[in-house]
Amino acid sequence: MIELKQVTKTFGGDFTALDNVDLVIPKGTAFGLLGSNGAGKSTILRLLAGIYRQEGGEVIIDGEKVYDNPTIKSRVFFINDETIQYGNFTLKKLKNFYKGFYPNFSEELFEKLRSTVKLPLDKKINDFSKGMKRQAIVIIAIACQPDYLMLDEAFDGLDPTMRIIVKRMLVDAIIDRELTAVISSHNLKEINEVCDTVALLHQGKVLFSRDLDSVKGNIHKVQTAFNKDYTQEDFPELDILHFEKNQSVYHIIARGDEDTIRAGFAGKSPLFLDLIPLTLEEIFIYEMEVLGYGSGDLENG
Amino acid sequence: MAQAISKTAEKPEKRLSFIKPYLKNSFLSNLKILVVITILDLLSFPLTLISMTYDIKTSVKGQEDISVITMFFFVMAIVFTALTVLAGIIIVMNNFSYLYKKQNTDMYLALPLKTSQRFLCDYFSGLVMYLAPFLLSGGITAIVSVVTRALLPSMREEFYGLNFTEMIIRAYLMVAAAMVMFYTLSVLVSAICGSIFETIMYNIMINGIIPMLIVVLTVVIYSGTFGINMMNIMLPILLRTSPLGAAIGFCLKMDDFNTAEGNLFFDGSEAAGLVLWLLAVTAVYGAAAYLLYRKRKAEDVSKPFVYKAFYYVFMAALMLGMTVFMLIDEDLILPLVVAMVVVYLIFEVVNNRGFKKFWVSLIRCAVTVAACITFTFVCKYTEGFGVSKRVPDANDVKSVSINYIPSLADETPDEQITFTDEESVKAVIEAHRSLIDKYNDLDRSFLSFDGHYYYGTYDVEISYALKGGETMERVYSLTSDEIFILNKLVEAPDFEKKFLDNIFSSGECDYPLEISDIINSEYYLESMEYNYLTRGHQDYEMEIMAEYAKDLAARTVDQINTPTEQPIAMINIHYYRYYIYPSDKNVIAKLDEMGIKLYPQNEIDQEFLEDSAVTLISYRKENAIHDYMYGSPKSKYVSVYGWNYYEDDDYETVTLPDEFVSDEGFRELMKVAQPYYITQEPVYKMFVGSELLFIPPQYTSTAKELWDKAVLAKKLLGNYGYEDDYYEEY
Repeated sequence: MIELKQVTKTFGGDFTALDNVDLVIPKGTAFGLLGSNGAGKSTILRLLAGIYRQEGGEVIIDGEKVYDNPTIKSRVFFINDETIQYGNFTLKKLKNFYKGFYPNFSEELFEKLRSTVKLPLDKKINDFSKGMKRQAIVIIAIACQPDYLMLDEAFDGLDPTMRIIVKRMLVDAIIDRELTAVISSHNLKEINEVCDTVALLHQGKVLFSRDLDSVKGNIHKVQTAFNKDYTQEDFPELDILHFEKNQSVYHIIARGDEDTIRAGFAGKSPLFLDLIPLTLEEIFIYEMEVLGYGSGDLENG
Repeated sequence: MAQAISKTAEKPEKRLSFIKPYLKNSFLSNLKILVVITILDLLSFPLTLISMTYDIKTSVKGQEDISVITMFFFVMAIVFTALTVLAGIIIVMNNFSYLYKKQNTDMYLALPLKTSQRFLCDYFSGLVMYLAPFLLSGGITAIVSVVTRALLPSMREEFYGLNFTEMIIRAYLMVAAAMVMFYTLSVLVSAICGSIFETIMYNIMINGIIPMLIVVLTVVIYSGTFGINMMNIMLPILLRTSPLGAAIGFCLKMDDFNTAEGNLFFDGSEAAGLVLWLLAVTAVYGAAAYLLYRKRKAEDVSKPFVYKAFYYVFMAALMLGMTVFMLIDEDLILPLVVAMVVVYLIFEVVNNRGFKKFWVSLIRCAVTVAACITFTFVCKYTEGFGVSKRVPDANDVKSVSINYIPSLADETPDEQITFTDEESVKAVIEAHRSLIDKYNDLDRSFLSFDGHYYYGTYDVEISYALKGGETMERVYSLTSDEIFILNKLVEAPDFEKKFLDNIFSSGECDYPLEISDIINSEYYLESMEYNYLTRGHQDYEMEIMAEYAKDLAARTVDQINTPTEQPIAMINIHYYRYYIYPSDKNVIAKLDEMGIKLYPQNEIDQEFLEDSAVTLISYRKENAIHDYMYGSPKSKYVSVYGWNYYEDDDYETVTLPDEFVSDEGFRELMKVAQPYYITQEPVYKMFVGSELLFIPPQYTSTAKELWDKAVLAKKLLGNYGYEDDYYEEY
């Protein structure tokens, strides 16, 4: 289990990347980190990989502090959002390099994965395409069989077919070995497909951390119409994130389960009331909009 | 958590040593540079030695010469070795790339290694790859030298007490120690800097800035400080603190290649000491590098400086270095300040990547420049914070060492004699204080940047060992006034032995002992005569000097300073003169035993005198003939000193006509004139042949009569063939 307790991380003394963050990631979870740019997602991943040292709080994996702890770090594999660092290696050399550090490394698994993605062993990674580089490090990571896999912008550069393959590799590892994967991605569709739990970060704080179903079930898009005009203030019992009227049809995004939301409209005799589940991307956009991180300004501008 | 603990406990047998793959990776990433430096190292000195062996093997015996090809190989070896030394920067930058390459930070810092493990792996793997080719080259060169010595008889001869192979091994070990320091400094810079530009730039600059700072601080604090030998202070620090400093110091110590003492090629303990010092200082740099490495954060990568203090120290050192020019001429202060400000601001703009917060840079620049100039002025006008005026209290002195000889000489005695008795310590302190008092009385306006040592008899180094464990070293040029005081040391306990030890401490004399008369330049014992002796000449020298030491120790201080007897001969040894007086029974008996009979000085060869120019030098109120290196200020004290006569325009000379050799007054003076005489009173002097003789004060009236007669004769007869300035050439 991963625990972040009151973790604070600052950069250069004047920028707080994480501000008293508390987060728990249960074992065997596919955990998605969502957030705006600079929200602190990569910082969390680097703290978990033992790269960064927090200024305050504790970063704990399975009861042990991560920083400067080779025992824990040998069970964690971190893939960052770049692949340039592997350029001088061939896939074989890179595999052999990591093999030395990860006690559970499986040659068999590596070969199996490699044959799936059909990567050459003796070609320099510099000569790979961006997607191939990504595949290379992902298959090495999975072959290392870590207990915790941290992926920053996990699917960046992969073509649709490869995305499916990589996702399947991840899911298999999660199911087979109880791998805990912490994935940060701006591609929310991918997170939606792989993760069962997500956390939303903004400006160094965790807005929420819940299982995906709960997140999805707790926010709805409402399409409705009334005989008379209403404003947002006329629905005080609803936690409205977005309120828009287009001629006579209202488009409302509100937090709450279906029953709570329906109850919020009960006294207003809607002509019709449709509750549409939101995609993760929509949830992200509307949650961010509430925090003033919307595209509205750009649109207005 | 329980699950985690059990999982960790399940896999102990699968724990891997992370170091092996890490080292392997380090080896692979440095493979190219390793191949290059191995080739360079193997092409350097091994090839030179092979070529030299070939030269000697093929040359005519007794005319061994080094060919142009060997010289080319030698120059190539120097260049290649320099390149392999510089390659240390590349290896360090490869191994610690994650400290300045952002893309590598995640990869290497995420690996399951402790910070200490990662540092040590990177440090030592690089170091092994850096040193291995060089040591391999050293091993091959040493083996080749062994073969060479076996093949060539001429190479078997010992070279200043050492064989060639030992010298090679010694040189390689010293360079290797310097390389370890170079490498470690590079690691230190990598821990301090966060960007590739600063890492490269300051890797190069730190190797210059450390020796520069040592030189600059020494010059700023001690330049123009009386009695302080800057080289003595600077050289040991310079040698031990940086590779470039070690190279410069090595060359400075090689100044006298023929002297084993202090020569790092020949003096095994000196070389071993240097190696140990270099390694010890390297350990300090390494520890500093590790602490800074440990403290720095992953996110510091790409910052120009992770620890800005280093940059400020660097800039302060640079500015201080520039203020040295102010010591040469204070009129340079204005252009110097402008130059300092310009240089400082250029560095600020580079370091800040532009003009952001430029006003802060301006303030920082102003503070640094002002602080450096103030520091330099304070040091200059307080003369090293008053260090030059310090004389220890006799009660605080445990022992004093001084390179004293009871002779007048130009050459400084090699070895110091240590005195522990109270009277000797007081005598040295008295002489020391006398020097400083005179210095304080001087008109300072003529003093220059280059220092102001007295031109006296010889340079003397005084080293006090204080009871508190502290040491204090000063170097002065003694005038005969100080010799006068120091001659008390002859009465020190055990002086006889100390005197002999001093003479023979540096082994065999370059020029064997000679004995001649004072005036006639006739040798009783010439160096060439030793060829006919059955024993080594040093045996004779030791026997003669042992007897002389007995006689010397029997003399009183007054007898030494103002002898009433005229010396009958002089011993020349080690460039020093020791006069033999008729009362020196022991040495005379010894020489007699050797078949050398000395005749009295007053039995002057009439023919010799007639053939020699005799010049009388005027009586003058101030006998200090040459006082200072620069200028000729009137000193308040008087000295008369020996044979190393120096020109001064405040005296007159008159050359005596040949007829004067029969003059009664002249003959009387010839019987009392002394080649070694120390007095505070003004005296007449005369040149006889090439020898300067002092006429003791009690014979001044006789000398004046002779002078007046000679001046009159000159008016009547003209210059009788001699120019007045004849002796000015001396």
